[in-house]
Amino acid sequence: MISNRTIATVLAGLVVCSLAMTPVAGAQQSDTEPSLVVEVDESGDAMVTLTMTYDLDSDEEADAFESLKSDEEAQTDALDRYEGNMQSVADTASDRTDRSMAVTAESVAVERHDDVGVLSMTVEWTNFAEMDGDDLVLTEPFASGYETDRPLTVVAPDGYHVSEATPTPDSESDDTATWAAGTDLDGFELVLTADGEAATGADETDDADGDDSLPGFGIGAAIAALIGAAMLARRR
Amino acid sequence: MRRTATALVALAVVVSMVAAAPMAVAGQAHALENDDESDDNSDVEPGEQFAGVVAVHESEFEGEMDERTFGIKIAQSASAEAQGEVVGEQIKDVEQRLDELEDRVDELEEKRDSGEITEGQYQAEMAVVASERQTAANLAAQSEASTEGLDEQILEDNEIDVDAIKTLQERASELGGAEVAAAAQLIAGGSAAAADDAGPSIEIGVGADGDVGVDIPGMSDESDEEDGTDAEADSETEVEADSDDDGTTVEGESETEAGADY
Repeated sequence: MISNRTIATVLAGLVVCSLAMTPVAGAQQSDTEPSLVVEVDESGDAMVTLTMTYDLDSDEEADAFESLKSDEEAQTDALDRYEGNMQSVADTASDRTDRSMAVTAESVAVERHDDVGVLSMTVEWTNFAEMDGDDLVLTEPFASGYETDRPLTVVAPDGYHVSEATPTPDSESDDTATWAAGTDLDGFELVLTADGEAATGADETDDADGDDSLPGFGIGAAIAALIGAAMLARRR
Repeated sequence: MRRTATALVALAVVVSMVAAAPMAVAGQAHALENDDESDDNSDVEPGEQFAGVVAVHESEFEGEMDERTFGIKIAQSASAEAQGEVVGEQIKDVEQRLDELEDRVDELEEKRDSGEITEGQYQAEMAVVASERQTAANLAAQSEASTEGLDEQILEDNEIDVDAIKTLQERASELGGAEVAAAAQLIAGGSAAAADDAGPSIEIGVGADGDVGVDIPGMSDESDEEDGTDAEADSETEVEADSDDDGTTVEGESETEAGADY
C-alpha cells in the first residue's frame, strides 16, 4: 500500500526538518498552532515572533487566505502595526525596568499548511533580556499579568541554557522553555546561563529535563512528518 | 500589483465608508490626542498590555479573513439570488457579533467595577472589543454595498432591510462609547494610528452595468482572468521540507515609527 519510496521520503523529510529545527527548536515547535516565540541572543536582544492561525474550513476561506498571501501590502501593513504595538509595549516595559528598548520590524510570513492558514510576524526587540554577569534574565513584559491563549516559548542563545525558570515551564529542553496556553505568568523570571557556568539559583527546572531533551524531534518534527505524509498521500 | 477580482467597471460609489483597514483598530482613537507614548499607561502593566496586543492582532487577523471571505462569496455568487442569500446571512452574522460585543462590554465593566479584573486587564479586553467592532462595522458597510443592484424581491426574500444595515453600522461605531477607542489607543497604539489613514482593503461597488464588483487585493479572478495566485491546493508544495522559511516572506523596513505611513 505504502511504497518504500514513500516511507523513505517521509523519513528523509523528518530528518531534514529535525535538523532544520534544531537551532530554533522552540520557534518551530508547531507550524499550525498559535504561539509566541522569543529567541534571545547573547546581547539580550530578541526576535519576537507572533504566530496566528485560521482554520480554512471552506473553499471561500481558502481563497480568502490565498488572496492575503498574495497581498504584500496588507502583510506589510500588518507588520507595521505589530511593530508599533510592540514598541508601545516596550515603552511600558522600559518604564518598569529602566532599560531602554527599541522595536524594529523584521519580517512577516503567510503560509498555508493544508487547511490551516498561518500568519507569523517578527520584530527585533533590543534589551529584551537584562544582562547580569554571565546570565541573561527575562522578566517583563511577562511578569505583570501576561496571560494569553497561546503557548510562550523562549529560546536561549547558542551556548546558553535555561538555569532557572518561574513559573515552571510545561516543557523544556536545555535551551528552550515553553509555557502552555493560559498559564498565568505573574512573577515570571527566566535565567539563561552561559554553558560551563554554574546555575545561579535554584534549579527547579531540572526535573523537567529528559522530557523534551531532543530538540527538533518534538511536536514540530512529528507535524512536519505528518504534513509530508499528507502531501504525498494527496498527490497519489 | 493589485488584482481586480470581478471587473470593477467605473466604480460608482459605495466604497464602504467605515472600511478603514479591516485589520486596524478603532477609527476614532486619534480624537483623544494621546501622545502615543506610555505616559498614560500607569494603570496598565506591561504584561497586561502585551497580552492585549497579542489578542488585538489575533482579532485583526480574524477580521481580515472574515472580510475577505465575505468579499469572495459575493464575487463568486452565480446569481443575484445567491448574492442576496450571502448578504442576508452576513447581516445576521453582524447582528450577532454586535449583540455579543455589547454583552461583553457590560460584563467587562461589571468585572472591573467589582475588582474581579484589574484596570489594565479591562483596558486590554476593551482594545480587543475595539478591533472586533471595527470588523463588524466593515462587514456591515460591505453588506450594504453588496445590496446595490439587488431587486426588492430578493431583498425581501432574504429579510434585508437597507436602513437596518445603516443602523448596524451606527451601533458598531457607538459600541462601548469613547472608552473603547481610548483603550485601543492605550493598548495598541500602532493599530489605532494605522486606522487613521488606512484605505479599505476590500472594495465592493456597483459598476455601470448595475452589477456589483468586488476588489480583493491579492485575489486573482478565476472566472475571467488567470494568473499567479491560483487558489488551488497545490500551494501546499511550497511548504515541503524546509519548514523554516517558506511561503511569502516580506522583509520589514527598518522604520520604527509607530503606525508609519499607510
